[in-house]
Amino acid sequence: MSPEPRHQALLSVRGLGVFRPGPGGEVAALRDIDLDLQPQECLGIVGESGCGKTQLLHALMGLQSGNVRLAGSVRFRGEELLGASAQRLALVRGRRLALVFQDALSALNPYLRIATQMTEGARAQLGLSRRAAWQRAATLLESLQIDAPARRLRQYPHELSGGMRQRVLIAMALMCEPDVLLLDEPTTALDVTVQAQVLAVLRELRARSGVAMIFVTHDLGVLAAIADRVAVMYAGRIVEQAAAAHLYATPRHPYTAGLLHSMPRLDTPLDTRLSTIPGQPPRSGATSTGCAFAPRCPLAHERCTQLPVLRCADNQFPANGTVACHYDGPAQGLREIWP
Amino acid sequence: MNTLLLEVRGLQVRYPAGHGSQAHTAVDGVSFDLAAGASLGLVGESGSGKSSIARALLRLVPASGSVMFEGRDLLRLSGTQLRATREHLQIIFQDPLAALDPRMRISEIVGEPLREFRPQYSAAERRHQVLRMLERVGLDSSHLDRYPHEFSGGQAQRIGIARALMLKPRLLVCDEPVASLDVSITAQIVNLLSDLRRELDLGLLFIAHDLATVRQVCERVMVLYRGRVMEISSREQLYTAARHPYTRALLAAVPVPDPSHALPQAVTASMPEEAPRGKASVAASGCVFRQRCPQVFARCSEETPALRVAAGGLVACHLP
Repeated sequence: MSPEPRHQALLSVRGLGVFRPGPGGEVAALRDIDLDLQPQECLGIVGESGCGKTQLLHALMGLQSGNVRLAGSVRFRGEELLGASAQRLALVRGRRLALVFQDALSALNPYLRIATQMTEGARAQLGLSRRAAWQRAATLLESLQIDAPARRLRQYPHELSGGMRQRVLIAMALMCEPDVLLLDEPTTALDVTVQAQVLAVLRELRARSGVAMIFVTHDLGVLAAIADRVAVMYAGRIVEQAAAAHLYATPRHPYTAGLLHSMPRLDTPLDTRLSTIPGQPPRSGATSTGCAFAPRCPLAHERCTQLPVLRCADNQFPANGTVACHYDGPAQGLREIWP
Repeated sequence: MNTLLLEVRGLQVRYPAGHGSQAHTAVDGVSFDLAAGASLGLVGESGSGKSSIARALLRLVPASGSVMFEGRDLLRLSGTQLRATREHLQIIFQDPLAALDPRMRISEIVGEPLREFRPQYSAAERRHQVLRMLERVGLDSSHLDRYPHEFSGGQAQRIGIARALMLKPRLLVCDEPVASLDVSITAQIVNLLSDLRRELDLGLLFIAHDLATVRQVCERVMVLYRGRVMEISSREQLYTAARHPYTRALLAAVPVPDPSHALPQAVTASMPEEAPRGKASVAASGCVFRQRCPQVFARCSEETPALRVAAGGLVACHLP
């Protein structure tokens, strides 16, 4: 299915594939990705290791290594980014689309002061003076609830706590006032208390600036706090996509349902045994002709040897989301399948 | 269930000053008991000392105080005596692949404890026992002759568990055993550990930063902050009516997979993040948590709260 991009979409991805050379020919790390990001929207992308979620962010930013082949289309405000010239990309990357990396300590240069790292991009991209860039950096740090921003700007990364470093990275990404913030597991390395603070800061930022976000994580709990819409990835494909309220209340893909039921939660009765999804996620680039989740799926059936395409999850309410699964029974049925 | 397996008193772990770092007390006077076959969760943020406690029990870091295990003080045992206790005291680690020797086959890794402690077993007998244990943790004979790199994180953790349980220990220390695993794998390992504990009457010391996971595994929970015990409570008490403000903050910060659930703005906003280690000066007296406590009052800086008995457990807080 390749619906026409809605004309107001900020970022429109169609049929995106990422192929890298393997011992027996090309392997797909990512395939058939269709996504639209609307202005001011936060799209959550969730999946386990090897599902291609980080590859997706890197492909959107044009950060793949040289031996990787991309297919499909990534349009930003209607302009094609795949195959765009380096000069053109340089104007979009960092300025219109900005990426926040997962590991704040390794993403920051230990030898440079926070100010130098934060202002470098904005001075090059926007031609800001040193003073103006410093001003902007201080204002951004303050808006992300960092105390004494002027002092922090003079410090080095090791002098900041983990949560502060992560907020510095977010502030750095915001220096050129991008339209889209891409966040790669921005809270995974943090303590739960700090994670809650960073999420609160990001929510406040959305409310204030309206910056659109793509938030990648393995944790459905984290996405519930911030995402308007959630795409679930498995083995390099999107297997379900829906408004957050729908996805958590009535997951349509057995994998999504399984993930939700296998999460330890605080609000279940004590001594509730966790549901488990048997087996393990396939490695990145593993090939399968049918549904990649079938080997782990309690509903697997002969038809699952055919690749399921993304289809409307609910024909009566097509806007509620899409799912790639042959099962077409009631969504309630999925609640019972996980032991 | 009433026999004590582990009795820890005044445990202190101090890392000496090194290149550019000040001496640092990671664990500061921690005491707790663990009954045979019981499970205790150790929870806290990074820097709370939970991993240092695990390492101290196994004598992997120098510590003072006393750790009574089966009538002997582990901290005062000599090499041979210490080695003998290894049979009953085992650990599994956070990074399961790093904990396996990449050059050894799985049969050798899991069989090594038998080779060391049951030299009377023949190779065939050893292989038989290894296979039975592998099957118990969800692996099979096809895995026996493979090498660690052929396994995923979840499978490697199963191998680590099999190796740790080979000699039927009485205490298993789990240092963040699921922190690096995928969501769908975490549930498998959590259920496996719960089952094995019941089957083998295994004492479990389960370290995690995630209170939701601990709730699945542990009957009692100890909450640590900067190397001190803030609260030790039964699971029922802690998850329904936690008494320490720090415990409540940790609980409020656990993500809830429900978009209609509001973020705990009040708690997180009032709880500033801890300064990086070494910069914060810990005052000699007063509550270590007071700078971050939303309910701090005058007495908190004057007097260190002692652990006192409260319904369902112990709490170190001046609040009534």
